[in-house]
This record gives sequence, C-alpha cells and structure tokens, in this order.
Amino acid sequence: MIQNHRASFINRVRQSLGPDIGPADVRRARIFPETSEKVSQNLLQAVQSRAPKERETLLAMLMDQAGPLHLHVTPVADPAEAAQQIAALVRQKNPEWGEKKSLIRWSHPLLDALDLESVLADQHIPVHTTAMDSQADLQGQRQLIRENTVASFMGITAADYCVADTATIVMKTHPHQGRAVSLVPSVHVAVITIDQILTNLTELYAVLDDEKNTPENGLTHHMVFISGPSKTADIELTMVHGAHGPKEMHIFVIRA
Amino acid sequence: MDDPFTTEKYTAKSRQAISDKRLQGALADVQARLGPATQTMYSAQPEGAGIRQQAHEIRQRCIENLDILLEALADKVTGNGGQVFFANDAEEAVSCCLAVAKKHGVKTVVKGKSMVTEEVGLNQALEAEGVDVAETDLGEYIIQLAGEKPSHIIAPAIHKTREQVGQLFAEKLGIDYTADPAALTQAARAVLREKFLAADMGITGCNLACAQTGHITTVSNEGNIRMTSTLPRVHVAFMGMERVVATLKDHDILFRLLSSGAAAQKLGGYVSYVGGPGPEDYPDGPVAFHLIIIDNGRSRMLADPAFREMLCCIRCSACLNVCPVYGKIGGHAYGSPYSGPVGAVVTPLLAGLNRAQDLCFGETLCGACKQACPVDIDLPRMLRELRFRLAEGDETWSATPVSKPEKFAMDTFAWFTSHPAAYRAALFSASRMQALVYAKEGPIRQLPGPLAGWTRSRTLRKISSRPFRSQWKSRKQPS
Repeated sequence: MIQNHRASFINRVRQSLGPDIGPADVRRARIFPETSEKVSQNLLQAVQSRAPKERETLLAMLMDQAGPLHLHVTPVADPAEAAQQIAALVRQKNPEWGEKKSLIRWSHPLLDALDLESVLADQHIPVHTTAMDSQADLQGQRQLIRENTVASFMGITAADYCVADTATIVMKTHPHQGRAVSLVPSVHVAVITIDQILTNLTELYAVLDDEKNTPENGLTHHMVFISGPSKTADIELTMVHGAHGPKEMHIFVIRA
Repeated sequence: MDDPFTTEKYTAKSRQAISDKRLQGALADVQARLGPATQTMYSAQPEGAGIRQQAHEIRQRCIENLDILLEALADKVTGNGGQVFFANDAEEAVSCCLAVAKKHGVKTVVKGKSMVTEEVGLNQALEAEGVDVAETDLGEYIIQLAGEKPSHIIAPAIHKTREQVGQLFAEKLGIDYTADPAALTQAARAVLREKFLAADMGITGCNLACAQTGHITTVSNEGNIRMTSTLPRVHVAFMGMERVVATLKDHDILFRLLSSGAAAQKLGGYVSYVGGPGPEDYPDGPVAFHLIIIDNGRSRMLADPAFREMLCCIRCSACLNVCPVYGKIGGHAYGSPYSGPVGAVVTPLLAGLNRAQDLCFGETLCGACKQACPVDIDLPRMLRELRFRLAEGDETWSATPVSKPEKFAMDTFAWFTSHPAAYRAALFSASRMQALVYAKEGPIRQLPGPLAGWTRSRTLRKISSRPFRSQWKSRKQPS
C-alpha cells in the first residue's frame, strides 16, 4: 500500500489557516457543540406529541408533494389492505427484464405482518427476503440474495421516516434489510405507518441529531433518502423516469 | 499523466461556440429553465431570504476549522471500517486509486459523475492500466461514448441535441436510430445495468461530508450513484478537501441549497450517506470503502485570504445558469472540468494564473453569479483580484504581469488621476491633439496600433473640448 500523508496533510491545512486560528481543542469544542439547541428540543417534542388530526394533515401534505414527483402515495386502513394493494400491483405490472414475476422484500416486522407469501400464493409469485443467518455461510447467502434481487421486478421495503414536505422516505441501513431492494427492481414499494411521517427536513434532522449518539438507532454506516422514482433530464432537458433505478415508486401508508 | 486543462484555447473555442446555432439554442434553454427557477427555490426556504448569507457563514466557519473537520471525518470513517487516504496532489490521488484497484483485482469500474476525478485525470489513468471504466450518469455516459468532455457541471451533455445522441447510440450501441429521449434513456439503462452488475469497483465523488457523524453524502436523480456505491464490492470516493461541514444541522441547510442551486429542486431524488463498508453479515453493499481526500492546490487557496472564500463553493453550478458569458460560449471554452463563473476563478487557481488568464478576463463582472450562488460567494470580487494579480504579477501564485505596456499605461493613468493639475493639462492637450487625427464629427471608430482592440466592437467618445468640471461650474443652478 502506498504511504498515507495524513499528518503532513492536516499540518499543511493548519499552516494555511494562519497563525491566529487558536488552539485546536478550543475550536473543536466550539464547532461540535455538546448540547442540542432549544429549537431542536421543541421540534422533537412537537413530533412526539402529534395528534391524530395533525398526522392526517401531514399525510395530505405528503400526497400533494408526491404527485409532481411521479411518486404514488396510497393510504390504507391496515396491513391486510396494504397486502391486497401490493397483490393488485403485482397482477397489473409486467416485468421489465425477463418473463417471470418474483418479489424481493426486507425482513422487517411490518412487512412480515403483510404475509405477502400467502396473499400472492394464488398468483404463484415467489417472495424472497434479504434475511441473513449470521451462523451460516455469509458469502453464499449474499450471492443468493443478490441473484434474487436482480431477478425480482418489484422490491418491497419499510422505512425509518417519511418527510411530507419533500415526499422523501428515509432508510438507515439495518441488518436483514438489503440496500438494493429499493434500487435494482423496476418497481419500488415502501410500506410505512402514518406516525412515521415528519413535517420537513428540519424536523427530520432534529430527530436524526437526537438519535446519532444512541448505538442501536444511530446513523449506521449507510442511510439513503429517496424522493420518487429514478429520473433524468440529460437529453435536451426532457424528463424521463427510470434512468437507472426504479421506474415506478409507491408508498402505502398504514393509518392504523 | 494527461493534463485535464486546455484553457489556452479559450478565445478560439469561444468564437467557435458563438457561431454554433444549435449550441446557442441549448444554452439559452438551460439558462431559461434553471436560472429563474433557482431564485424561486431559495426564497421558498423556511429560513427566508437570508438563507444564502447564513449558509455562507456556515461554510466560512467550516473552512476556518478545516483541519479539525477533516481529522474528525477521517477518524469516524476509519472507526467504521473504512480507509481514508490524504492525497497532496492529483498524482497521489490517482496512484492511491490504482493501488486499491490492484489490491482487489479490479477489471471493471462503474463511475458516478465526479468533477474532481476529471480534475485529477482518473479515467485515463485507469484505462492505461487496462481497467474498463464506464461513466454511468446518462449525460456523462453520452460524452464518454462521444469521446468529449463535460460542458456543464451537472448536465454534462447539454451541448448535444437528441438527434446527435440518437446517431451516437446507433453507432456505438448498435441500436436502431431514434431521437426519442425516453427510448434513448432506456437503451442506456439496459447497457449500464449489465455494467453495474458486473463491476468490481464503484467510484463516486462526494457532494458534501458531515464531520461529526463521519459520512460522505452523494446526490443524484438517476440513481446511478446509488448503484455505483451499492452493487460493486469496493467503493472508492473522491473528495475535494473543502467539501466538509461540521454538523448534521449545517448539512441540512447546505444540502437543501445544493439541490435548489443545482436543479431547482427541494431535495435531489437520491441522497446517500456513506460512513464505511457494511458488516459482513449484512445482505448487500460494498465490503470495502476508501475515501480519498484531495488537496491538489486547495491549501494554497486556503492560505490566501483573497481566495479562501472560493473553498466555500459546493459546485452546484447555479452560477453557470445565470452567467451571460457561459450562456454564449458554453462549457468547453473554459477548457476545464469547472466552467462558468466558478471555473473562471477556480481554474486559474488550479492550473496557473497565467495559463488560464483569459478565463478571468473573459467574465463581465455583472454580478449575476453572486446573486445566484446558494452560499453567496463573491465571485466578481475574486475575478477582479485575479485580474489585479495578473496585472501586477504575484510571487505566491508565480504569476507574471500579463502585459507590461498595459501595466505601464495603467500606472501612468493612476499617477495622473492623483495629480489633478497634471490630469487637467493632459486632458486639455489630448483634446486639442485628437482634433488633428480625428477631424470627422462623431465618435472615434478606430484607434491606432495596440489600442485597436478597444474599438473592434465598440466606438469611443471623443474627449470633450470643455471638461466636465468646467461645464458643471458654469451650469445654471436651479433656484
């Protein structure tokens, strides 16, 4: 491996900043404040004590914002209805690559509750998951998950949060939840609950900031914000959906 | 190593661009669509109209603590199982990437659009080692197939018409000719999907990094950067050393402004935070993550108080979309991965002041770029500063005076303006002398000798026989 110049690099940066910058530890304490601001505290409180009526307002706002982004948001009463809606989508859509229809989904309590395996049994659609058994051969499992993800025409995920103002779903990367599920299949379906909807990015960042130091739901090694299907305007600024990622995206919001 | 700069051809390429009717149409279109829309997005932010100034302060504070932020970022990424490499220059950055590729036995690479990799000449270096490199941003893929360079920071193929892309794809991809953007996008989608799935390594840039949490962030609307940073087993990210902010809160404001400035969006379609490789028992994602942090002349900007502000730039390209000069000459004329007003300042600072002198003299100083900048960078001030250094010569930037006669003329002019009596006398004699040369009525249409350039595209008013001061004195005061 070639030599790393971290120390001399940082030192040159420090020299370039000039003699008057002050001691590093003083500046460090100032630029990384320990306590969160009062504004963030208030935001967090607002999120935690949101009334059902306010949640409905946020859902309506999400639907308004999602429209122009070609993102379909459908409220459903319960997990069973979400499963029925997904089954209808599966029936309606044709695979983009190859003939066979199959699905890939996260291993996640909310998605487990949909029982898609039974709901799709009459259509004879295989439903794969991205669950990993940490005791078994990891390489082999990853390989199989990859093949299943590539072969699937629809990927089903949950999410950590959803931001109404930008029509964005936020997904931190957790175990058993493949990143490619929301990326490689032609259709991405996210299932969320209404209490996961936040007002705007400022609220989201207050929540993320609050969580960042707790190991179990900190920021993890990867996180993605998705606001609608893949799109491009690189040829004469003409908007085309489905450049590389999903051509279509659906969010089902469970009210109960 | 290939030189990424061809700034010496600025004047010739500008002239060529101005006579290209198709290019003129494309440039007018991109400016009309994105320029005004960007302003609307800024004012719609919850922070209100002052958000650009607020963002400027955040960036300024981050740059003034860059040493601390880079250390914190590197510690976090390393702690997360990633590798961080600090590259002093382009050569080091490239050889680091080559070493990683060699270590992992990499044969094929997919790339997300990244101007800093253009700056260090990465693709050519990888190809020289026999590695197959595929650009995956649709615009970047088009110009890679065409063997050209990007002409806009975020819309690299904006200079190409749909018919040209259709012909290119028919020729290079063997598909039936079509000029339908949707069909062309689908054709590229199919080819690139195979590349994504087969690639050994993914290379991306970095739009911004958050030091406190130890993540780099990337944004795309196509999803190609997500593909690049998710499917191959190795992910290498290139980052200009200034692209870091301290906290999540800073990140929030700047990323919103980046989305607005770049594409008049509230938020880009896909925003990814990458803090390291995933654990082995996760279902997918790269098993190795390398972050290459690049100086390549940036610390010199940091050390010069007049140009430190340039490091606040987040490369959104909003200034391109309002610049009257970019709007006429397009991106290729600048001969640099960075075009438009940002390119006119940053290219001389990277490639050498004298080499890229035409770029800063070419801009109009109208100030539209400052108004459009999401972080309110005073580009016109820095353009003037560059012109000053070029006129006077400057040791720290190894700049030699552009024109000794011009400098002499300006110094003489400066002396006269600070000596009123001499100035009046000089004007008086000049007004008498000009009558001998320019007998005709009306403005001067052609100046002699080296001054002829001034009157090539404009006329010059004659010196009045009665100076303004004396006209003013004898003017009737309204009672």
